[in-house]
Amino acid sequence: MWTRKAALMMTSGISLVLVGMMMSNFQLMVIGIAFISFLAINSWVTGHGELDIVRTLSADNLYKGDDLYVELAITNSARRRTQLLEVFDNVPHEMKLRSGLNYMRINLGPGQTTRIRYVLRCPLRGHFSLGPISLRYRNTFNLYSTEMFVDHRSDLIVFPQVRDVEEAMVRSRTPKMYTGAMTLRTPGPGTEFYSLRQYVPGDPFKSINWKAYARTGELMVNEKCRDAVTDVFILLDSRDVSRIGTVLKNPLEMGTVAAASLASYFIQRRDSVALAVYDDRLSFLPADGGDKQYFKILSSLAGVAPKGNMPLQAVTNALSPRFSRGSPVFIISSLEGDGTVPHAVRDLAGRNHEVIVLSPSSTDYERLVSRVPRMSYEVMKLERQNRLTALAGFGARVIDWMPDVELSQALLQVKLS
Amino acid sequence: MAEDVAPQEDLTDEGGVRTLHLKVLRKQWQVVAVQVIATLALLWLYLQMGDTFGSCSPQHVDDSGNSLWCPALDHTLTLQGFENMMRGESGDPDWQLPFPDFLTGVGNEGPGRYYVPLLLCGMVAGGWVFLNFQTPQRRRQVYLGVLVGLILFLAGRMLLGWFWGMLYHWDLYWPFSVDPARNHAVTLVYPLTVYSQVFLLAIYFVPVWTGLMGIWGLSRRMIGWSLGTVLVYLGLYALLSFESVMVYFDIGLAPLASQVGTATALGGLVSPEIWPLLLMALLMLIYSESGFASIRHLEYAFRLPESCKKDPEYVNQFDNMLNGHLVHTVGIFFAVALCTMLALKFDDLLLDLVSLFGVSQWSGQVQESLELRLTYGKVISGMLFLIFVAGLRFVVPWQRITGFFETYIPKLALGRD
Repeated sequence: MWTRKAALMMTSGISLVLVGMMMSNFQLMVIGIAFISFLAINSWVTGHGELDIVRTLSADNLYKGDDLYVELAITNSARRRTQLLEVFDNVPHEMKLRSGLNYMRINLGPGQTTRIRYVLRCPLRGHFSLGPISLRYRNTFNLYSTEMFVDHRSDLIVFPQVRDVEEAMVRSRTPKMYTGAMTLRTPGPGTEFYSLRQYVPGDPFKSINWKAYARTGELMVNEKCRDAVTDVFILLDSRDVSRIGTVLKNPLEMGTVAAASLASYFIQRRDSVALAVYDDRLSFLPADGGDKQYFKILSSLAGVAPKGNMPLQAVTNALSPRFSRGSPVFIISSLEGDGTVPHAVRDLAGRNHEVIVLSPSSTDYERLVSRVPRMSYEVMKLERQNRLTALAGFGARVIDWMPDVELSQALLQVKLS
Repeated sequence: MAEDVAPQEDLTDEGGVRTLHLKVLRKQWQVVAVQVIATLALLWLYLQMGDTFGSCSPQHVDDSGNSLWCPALDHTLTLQGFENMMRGESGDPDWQLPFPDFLTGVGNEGPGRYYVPLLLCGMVAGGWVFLNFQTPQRRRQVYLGVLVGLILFLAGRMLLGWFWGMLYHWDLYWPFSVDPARNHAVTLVYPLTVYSQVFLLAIYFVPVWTGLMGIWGLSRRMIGWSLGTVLVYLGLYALLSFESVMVYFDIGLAPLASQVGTATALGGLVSPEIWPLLLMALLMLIYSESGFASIRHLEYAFRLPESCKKDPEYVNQFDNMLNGHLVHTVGIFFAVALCTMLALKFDDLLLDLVSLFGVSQWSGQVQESLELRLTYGKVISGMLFLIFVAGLRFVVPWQRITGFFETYIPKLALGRD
């Protein structure tokens, strides 16, 4: 394609030739012919995009806020020079260049290789793709340019941040509240003391209580509580209303952080975690444990986007056959625009589930992006308090999560019914 | 580019590692070579213009046979005219302009008229570029100092003499009077003639000093001014020396030859009338392309973030680009010169081809036609040739040929080692 300069030069050349002919002035004619000759000769030189490009990422999956190291190895696989070539690696606009540059002007000889290295910061969770690579050949004198693409893409998942919640859970009013022992008070392999009993052949020596033996003169062994695995259900509200706030701070973003953190905490404790995300439809990940399940949950949370308006009761009704009996249920929702929440919570509590409602305060997130009159704010706040109190009245533990409060801090504010 | 893009520091080679900082690049031989090429092309262009357009028509004389002033590209004509005018005004037949002739080139013939003023232009441009390297505070001090110096030189003597005169005569009076003792305004004549002489020289040498400032001071605007003034001068010259205009408005410019003689220059490639015109067109192209290219490349390096400036890959590719530019400057401009010369000689080839058809009425008419040897035929045949040359890119795979040599010659050389 001709650049503006080439078009201008061609126009000037022809004009000069014509004016020179009109005025019988050889100087103008010669300049005009030289311009056109310059264009004709330069058209012989063309660049090409026959490149082997390999992109290497420091990680395929990373957490929100982490840095990603990218290296692009570019090899000229043709038997001629690339000429002046601009290489631009297309990066998702959500990512920010932290160091280096995703752009380079190169002039590679046959078989030569060069490398572009840069560092990206990923401030938003999601499924992203780096690429394709845009190439633009420019003539040495900037007369012709050709744009090309190398369709080489690298997929990447940015997980939500995982916060440390262990301390908060330990310091809460029910230490180790869900790990097996809560409902299954039976002896078995575990960590907590259950009772003493007489030694029978076959008991391991390490379980003998030597102090009791010294006191009673009989061999006694310690029995432990059985660490049974519990299913934990996390219901994440991803309706359209959860986008209130800024891109980085809104109920949905905070909700994904909370869900990821809770999942991490319980999976590390060998519990099974199920995740249900509801927006315009319900996405359910059945309860399971282990690293694979953890990866599935994080991947699922990475792709969550606000949309739809599905009521919570529809979710709980749909999932009721899948809920394990007595298992704890976390509901992460701003509780806005859904009148079915009290009924859903009442149903769950009625079926003997431990219901914990973690509610990011959308009223306060709204204040981050728009000016809310004080009176309106107070009224909305009061309505929200009434809503939370009503839920607590139905037997749920309710956490009012303010924007500037850390998750671990918020978890300490459990309201008991 | 995040915080990585900080204002550029003045870094030199860091421990022998080459970087792309401006201070380092300004001394890099490829950059200097491009700038020297642009400078030489500009100086040669000006000298060639002086050679071609630097004299009036021999018929442009007064009744006594003395040469009259004309707007030829010869500053000495104007300076001499100015001196004659001042002699007439002052009534002193020995009155001379303040600057000696060896500085202005007055009295010399041919290119000797331009050498010293060109040197002065170089010194002025060098001083300006040197000043641009200084801190803004120092620059401001120098500008202010020069301005104050100029004002003092203009009016200082008059003001001192005037105040002293008022004290001496113990009277308040204006500084201009018929009484020579009270006419202090006469002291303004000398500085004003100095300024006028500098102004006249500056006007004639605008393309040179602006061009030099543009090349070495990396200013596109200055190069634009330089090229613009050259083109405007060529246009005006063509207009004022146009036969139809000269009938009504003859100011003594020597018109260029309207017909081209036999090609005898450069081994019969080009006619002696065309060669200087072609040389000027080529020099103009070389000057503009090299001048702008050095700025373009350095601008790219300047805009790179700090981490890229220290990256050896960027440094290598920058070297490749500059080397490629130098090779193309030599190769392409040689080809353009050859192609333009052949284009202007293509009419001869056509006539020779027609003669091959033997004796027929048509071939005889064409051969005897003078039309092809005149302006229209020459230019039209030249354009045909250029279209043919532009089409050659689809026939001659010369890039593959050069690529082949580039790929295999190093391998052969390595094989011998």
